[in-house]
Amino acid sequence: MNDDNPKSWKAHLKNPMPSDWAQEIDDFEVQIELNKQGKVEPRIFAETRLRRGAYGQRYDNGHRNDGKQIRHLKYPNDGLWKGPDTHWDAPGMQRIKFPWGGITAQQLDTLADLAEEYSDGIGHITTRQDFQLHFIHVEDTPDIMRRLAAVGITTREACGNSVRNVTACPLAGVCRTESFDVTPCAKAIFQFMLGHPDAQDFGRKFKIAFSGCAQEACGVVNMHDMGFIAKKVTVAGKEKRVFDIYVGGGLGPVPYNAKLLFENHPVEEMLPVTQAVARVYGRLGEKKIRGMARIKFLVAKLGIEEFRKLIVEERKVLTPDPRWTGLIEQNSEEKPARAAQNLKAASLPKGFLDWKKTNVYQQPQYGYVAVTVKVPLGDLTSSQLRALAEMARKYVKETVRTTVEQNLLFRWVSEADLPALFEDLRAVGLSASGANTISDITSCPGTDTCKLGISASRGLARELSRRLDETMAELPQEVRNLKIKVSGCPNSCGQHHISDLGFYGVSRKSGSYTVPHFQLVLGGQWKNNGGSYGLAVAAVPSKRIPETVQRLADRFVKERLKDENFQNFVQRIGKVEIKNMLSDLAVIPPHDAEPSLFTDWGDLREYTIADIGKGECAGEVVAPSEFSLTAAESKAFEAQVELDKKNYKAAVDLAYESMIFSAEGVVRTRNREWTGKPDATIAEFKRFFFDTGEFVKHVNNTQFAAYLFKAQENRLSNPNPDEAHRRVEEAQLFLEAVHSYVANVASSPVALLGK
Amino acid sequence: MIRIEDRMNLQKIGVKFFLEKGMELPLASFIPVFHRWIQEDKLEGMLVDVAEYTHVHEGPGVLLIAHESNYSVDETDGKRGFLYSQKRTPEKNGQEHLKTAFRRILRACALLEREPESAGKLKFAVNHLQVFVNDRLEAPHGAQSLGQLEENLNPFLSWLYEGEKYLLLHEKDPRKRTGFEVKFEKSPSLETLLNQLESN
Repeated sequence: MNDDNPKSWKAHLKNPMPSDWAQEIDDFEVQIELNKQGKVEPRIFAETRLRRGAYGQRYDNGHRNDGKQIRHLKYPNDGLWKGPDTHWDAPGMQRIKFPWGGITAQQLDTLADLAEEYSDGIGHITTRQDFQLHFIHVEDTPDIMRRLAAVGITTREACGNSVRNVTACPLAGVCRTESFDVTPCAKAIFQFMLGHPDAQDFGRKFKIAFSGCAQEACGVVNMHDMGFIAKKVTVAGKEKRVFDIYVGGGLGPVPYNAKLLFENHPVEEMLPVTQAVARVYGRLGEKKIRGMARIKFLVAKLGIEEFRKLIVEERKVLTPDPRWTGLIEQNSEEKPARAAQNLKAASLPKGFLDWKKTNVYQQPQYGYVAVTVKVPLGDLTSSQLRALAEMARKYVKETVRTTVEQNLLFRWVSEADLPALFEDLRAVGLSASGANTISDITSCPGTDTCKLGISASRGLARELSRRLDETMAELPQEVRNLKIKVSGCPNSCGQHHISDLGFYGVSRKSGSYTVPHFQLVLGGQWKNNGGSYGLAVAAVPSKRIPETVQRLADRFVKERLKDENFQNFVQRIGKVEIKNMLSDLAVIPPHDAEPSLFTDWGDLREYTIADIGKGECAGEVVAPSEFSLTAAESKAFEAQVELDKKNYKAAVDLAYESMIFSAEGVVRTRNREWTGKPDATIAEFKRFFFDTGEFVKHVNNTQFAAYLFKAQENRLSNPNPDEAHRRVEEAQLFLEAVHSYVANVASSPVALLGK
Repeated sequence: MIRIEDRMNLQKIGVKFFLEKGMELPLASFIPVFHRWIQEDKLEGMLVDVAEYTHVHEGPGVLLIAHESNYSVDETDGKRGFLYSQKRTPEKNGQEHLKTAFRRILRACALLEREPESAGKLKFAVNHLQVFVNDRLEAPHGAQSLGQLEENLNPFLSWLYEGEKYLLLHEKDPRKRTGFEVKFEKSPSLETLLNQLESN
């Protein structure tokens, strides 16, 4: 601690930050000190630091597979913990909230300094408009927070069971299709809910999003716990600003579509309704089973009508708060830095026109455009951050925003400034065209830094982007317009459910080896605020994903009907056909025939450990559990096919059969000869693997087994489309968990499925 | 080694040696090298992981993350070199910090020159380096910090380079870290520098 040290950031920055923010950070620093003295339980300290955005990172349990062996990382303060099984000295991640994605030049400069001094020189834009710094030491976090607070940023509630970053369409205010600018509303809800007493007792995180219109993607309201879509209605001859308010959406392993809570609701009612939702969620939401604690489960359990009734009742008893309207009114609209002027056609820089085509958006305000800076994998160096700060000052003042596609948006650029801005971007390597095209791939951190990562999502995204950029000029327009999103595990931080081609990391056993794979997810929709979710079609080894993309794109170009989009194309030719055309790619050859398949992108470590028996002999042994898993895969796929045909009951039944085979796969790791009826198999699974904690220990989560028990308890005799969709997803996830379990009990180092 | 009174806490010192040869080597070729160094415990300190930023323009390239420091094939400002950036060390004074930092980076440079992926294709210009303080609180940009750093650096460089003449070019951009680019007219070999560091 540095309370008495005049040469400290605490003393240095005492005045530039609000006193309550300063106090909160001081309090956090005290918690750090108490934790070091052993006076705080690691579990309590973990939630404390998470609520301040200080996350753990991969290998913080003190173990790392170096490709040859599991290495014990000898952190200096051995025995000192910053969370359960989380070493004090292990590198961590600091998440930094940027409400509605708004970021100023001064904040960009500060991020540049922090990335250099505390991190690895990179500021990373996330899929929820945040920034993240990696490889941070927990003892540096109070100073990081002070330096951020001094430029108007709080990391409070960036993680933990709290209201997370409030996101909004980055085009808000400059959009051609919006009903009105949602920025002041997003700002108001951030200010109102930050530290609000009614939002401190959630069982899980709570994410809010705003969109200016229903038809575009930008706000992706459908996948949020709570979302607002702007509309205008005419009441008694007067135009009025209203919201359609949604609740209970969410991705995660099993995605839920948000439900309409209130239609045409007055803007002035936005904050009290949010408060009422927070109170009901805090009171009735699940607290014990983490995997069932998001509000989507509560809304699904109660039904939207009952949930709405509760909100209406709750709203009536709220004590009026002047901030309900005051906060919205005080947030004014932004102004451009420079006068509007038309682009002059003479002597345009090389590459400018291609860039303008994909990266420049015509604002409705005459003479102004919004420019997307395509940021590879969301990563910016400190030099780039400083250069962007300078460009912001020069061209647009404080109107830069981050996007959920991990890019930056410069708004209010005078058209005449475009060539100069392009040249300035080019000087720092940020003038790549292709924003919002197939090569502009979204990815979560995956195995690079995330504890839950199974496959190298960033490695795959990097490789796909590189290949697609190289061939972009030859790609037909319909392929260029496709979206690719990648997650390192089923938890969906890469938002794979709402893209044309989605991928999430899984693993598969091949003899004594474990092979990194990605599940291909098709049928998702980006437009309409992430309007529908895709489903897994086939698991393909990581290294064969580029070939998978190539085949799908080629076939789409060749067989596409006039004006048919990719989603409809997939629906028309069917998932069976798609699975068939990729079936050869899914076959894993013997290790020595193609050793590169047994490593992941950008990571040359063997995906398995050296002490597992090597060679063809081991590779040819097929354990009885693997037959069960093959059958489970088959049933899970058939379930999807029935779902596509809208045969919901059949889909649900097949999903259940898949779960039974998956459970059988687990049981057969103990009793190779096991055959039994479904209920007996489940009982066996429960007795020897669930109740003993054996299964949970290896998959790190109670949720996956809960899917099985839920399916047994409620077979869904007349499922609706949402229920069927979820059941099929759950069968797939239970299967992935079983794959993970089987791989782990064979001493493989494969990453565990998520919490 | 000369002992002088510290004018500045140099715990977070960064040292980068630029390349004489090897600019064209793909950044990705350093990934297996760093993984191997972790497997074989090739460097001092606790090595944690490898981070890849080959997709980033003029960035940290490929990093070897250690508990006490980061090593990276760094391309900041378009100049590739091998950067050692110290995060936390048990040393007590500035000259010891400098000695530790130079010993660690020069050992790593020597190793890198010998690795199969780079042998014969990569060579460091040990007469051309950069030294900076990665701590804006300790060394805010300005004449005072530069003066203090120079006072720490001069005796150390004279000792290490055995009195060879050098030029210090200070970082002029006030947003960047306090530091110098150092150019020697001529220089002892990498091995001689290492011997000097390891024998004292």
